[in-house]
Amino acid sequence: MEELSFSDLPRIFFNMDVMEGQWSLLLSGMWVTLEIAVISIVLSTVLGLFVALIRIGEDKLLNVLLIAYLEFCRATPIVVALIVVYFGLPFLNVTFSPFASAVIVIVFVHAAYIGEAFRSGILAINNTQTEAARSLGMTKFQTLRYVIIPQAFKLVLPTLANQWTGIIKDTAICTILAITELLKAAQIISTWKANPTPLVMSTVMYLIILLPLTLTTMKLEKRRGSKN
Amino acid sequence: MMNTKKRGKNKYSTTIISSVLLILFFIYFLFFSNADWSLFKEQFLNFEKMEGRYYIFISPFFLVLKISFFSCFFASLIGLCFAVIRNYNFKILDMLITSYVVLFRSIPAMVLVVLVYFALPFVGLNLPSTNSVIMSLSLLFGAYTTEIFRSGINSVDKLQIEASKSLGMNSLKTMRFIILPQAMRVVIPPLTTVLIDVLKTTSIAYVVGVPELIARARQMEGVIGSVTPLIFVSILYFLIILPVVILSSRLEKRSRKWSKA
Repeated sequence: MEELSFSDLPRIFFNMDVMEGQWSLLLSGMWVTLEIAVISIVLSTVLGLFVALIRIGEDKLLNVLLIAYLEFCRATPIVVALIVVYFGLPFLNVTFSPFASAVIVIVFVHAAYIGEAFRSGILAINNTQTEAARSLGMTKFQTLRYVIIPQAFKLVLPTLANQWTGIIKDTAICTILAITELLKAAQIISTWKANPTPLVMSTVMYLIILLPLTLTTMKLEKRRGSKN
Repeated sequence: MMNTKKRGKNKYSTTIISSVLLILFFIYFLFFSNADWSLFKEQFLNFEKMEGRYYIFISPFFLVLKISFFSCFFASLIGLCFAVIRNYNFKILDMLITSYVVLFRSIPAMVLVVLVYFALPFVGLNLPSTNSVIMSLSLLFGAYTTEIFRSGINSVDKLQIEASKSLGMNSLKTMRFIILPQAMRVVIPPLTTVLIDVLKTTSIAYVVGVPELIARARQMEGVIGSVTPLIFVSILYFLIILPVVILSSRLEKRSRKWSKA
């Protein structure tokens, strides 16, 4: 291998000539990533709220089932789940598109975590507030909707933001399926052009999406920490 | 009377609606999707075909343990060093470490692993795939452990530091004998959470061709024409990670009790 000096690094890692005409593929990959991320975030948050509501409902059987579900999600790597859903289920004549299996797995796993976050948030709200709201004649649903959930939401926002960041990060794992999302697109261009610039560019794009989220999360966490 | 009746009804309405939805989903999945459940046992739980092949999973099993051990070790090392450095409040180092934390909290594990494995060879750095995975995981989780150790160090009462200084201990001794032993107690529960994450993230090594559990399972899947190896591997992962999950939630409960007292 030829000797490399520091001045060669830009030519290797930031070679914009390589990227000429390739931006469209990379951007369409980013679009797919964002699509998976947004759909998964919305669905898993809604499902997580549902899970939390069932957990605080104190029905024994459902609680046990949901705890098992949570432990299952905690102990299963997302790669394994993706492979089982995408490559395993077709053996049972159940075939999901790569996009659908990505969303299904991410939502399934993260809804458990988000549910746990919501549950701890709801439990952190003082019980006297429920009693007060009920004595004002609010129904159980109204109490949840107007008193408990708005406050719980504020409490769990840092955890939730963290979880959403996790979801966006996990979309990168979907490269193992046949989806041309951001990382896959970068790999395709990188292999074709025999240059790592597309990989670096895709990392930069991920950072553009994720840095603001991480910074906000850290700020929220700090604020929560100082409140305590 | 009316009131209690109403309250009782409302108490269970969310539960009932949710469970009905769940059951409907399962009914749909079981009967109305064109799933052929007669194939389930043959394809998913066909352990007869696996007989005599279990030995294949021994070395990948230990490889996963090895990758997670070293990643955890180096990540804790990074975290400890950076947290201690941050404690001394050097402006420039502070900024560097903070930007390291923010940066590596934002990069997806998959992207970093791919970047390290496929981009570094272009500058002549040919890391073996296992080492590149260990390196990326250490860097990634070092960002988390830095914050964990920092909050541990911050949790020690400032009065104790002043007291140890007035006893004539220098700052290194204070760190070694006063702060760190107490910080450890705070740090260990969140560190187990990191360990869980590391164990789960090792499965990403599959992409860069590390001969770990999933890679072997997929090879065997091709040979015996059944998904059973994959199911076996997911059970294996589950068995590795579950004890840590249980340990972690126990420790967390205990530390919560401890902080309340």
